[in-house]
Amino acid sequence: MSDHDTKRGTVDLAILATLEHQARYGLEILEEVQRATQGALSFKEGSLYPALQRLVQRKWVRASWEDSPIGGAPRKYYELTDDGRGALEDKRRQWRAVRDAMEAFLAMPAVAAPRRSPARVPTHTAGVAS
Amino acid sequence: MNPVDRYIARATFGLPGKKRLDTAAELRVHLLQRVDQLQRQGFSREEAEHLAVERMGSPGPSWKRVTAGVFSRQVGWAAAGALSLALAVWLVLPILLRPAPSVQPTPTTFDDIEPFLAGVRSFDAVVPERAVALRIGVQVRAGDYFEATTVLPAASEGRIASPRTVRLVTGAAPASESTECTTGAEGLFVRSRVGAHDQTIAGCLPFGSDGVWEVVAPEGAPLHVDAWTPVVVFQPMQTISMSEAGVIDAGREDPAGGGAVSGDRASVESTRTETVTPVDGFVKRPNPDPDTWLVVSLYASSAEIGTFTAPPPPSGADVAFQAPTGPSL
Repeated sequence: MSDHDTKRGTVDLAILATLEHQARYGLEILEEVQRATQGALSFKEGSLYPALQRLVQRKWVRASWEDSPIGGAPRKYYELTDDGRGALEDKRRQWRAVRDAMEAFLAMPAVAAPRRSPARVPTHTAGVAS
Repeated sequence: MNPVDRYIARATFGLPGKKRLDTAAELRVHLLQRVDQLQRQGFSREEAEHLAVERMGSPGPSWKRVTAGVFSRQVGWAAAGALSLALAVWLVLPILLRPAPSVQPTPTTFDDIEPFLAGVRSFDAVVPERAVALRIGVQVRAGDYFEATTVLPAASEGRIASPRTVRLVTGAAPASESTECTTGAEGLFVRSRVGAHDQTIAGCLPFGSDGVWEVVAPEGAPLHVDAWTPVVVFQPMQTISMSEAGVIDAGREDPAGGGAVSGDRASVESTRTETVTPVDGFVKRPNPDPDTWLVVSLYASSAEIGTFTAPPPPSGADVAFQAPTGPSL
């Protein structure tokens, strides 16, 4: 998996998790991710919308324009679909499996590398005609 | 154009119309809200717009992927595939379809053998929907007849097989071509084809095929269910002496209409004007005897095979025979 795929998977998981309990609009999703991760997980705001579009195409998320409860321009809200909830659970399991494996690996004591034995040189005796 | 407009224009470049407007509106709401937040933090409008756009990152790569996903995967590949296929078909198909040098047996058509036949007549019989079979009856002289049945394609899945058209060809073969007939007799055949079903009935004529074959079913003649419809009649030639025929000036039209014939034949022949050519003192003319006529008739049957009961097909006495005035066939 490339860094790009890893990043994309992380962004998707973060968005799905943010929408798990309520519908949110774009900027609200960003702010929720920032708040929940205390700024540890951040990405360019412009990459949010392609990610949202990707999730809509997979039918994990549905979008709808709604009036802002505080007035002003209407906002495009995103909410999880049933498929999206299933995808969120799958990604959670995968993430935890990777995390557990990495933690177990990193907790292992350092092992000295085995010494390599010297290469064997085949012996050859040429026959001598009598 | 301010930074916000520029960013939106670049970010939505290439998106299809409705999607472009939807995305532009969403981005504008996002950017203006962010600008408002920054202004409340003390930034000027210009600075806020600049910072809001900077936080979005480069619009190019991300949105290019979206558009590439739409265009290159779906339209682009489909177009490339269609072009490649068209090119392949254009270049390769003529080569593949070019027939290899070989000898291929092909079905013999009646066009191939027509010079050897007499009285070839062909019909397309459109059979009524109520009919399940087409029967072909050949009445030869009084009481002698052939009959064949062509079962029509069965209706499938509740639909009537269509078109219910039976191709018919009638004719006779010279004696030399019909080996199954006794020497001197002529072979008769009636062939019917419907779909893949091809059936021929054949028999031996008790007289030569040299005569007048006439189509008696006018074009578009209706084909009724459970009734015989005559389509072809044949009248053999009769060789008679010149004196019997009453021909005085051989080779010229007799203005009296062959009125020299007396007796029973007079009623038939009095309506004709014919030209005869004497050969060695004899002439040929259509035999007016009803018992020597041959009639091919069709019967669109609504009854299944085995339950068919119908009168024999019409005989020459039942069909009004109008002898042609031109040369016989």
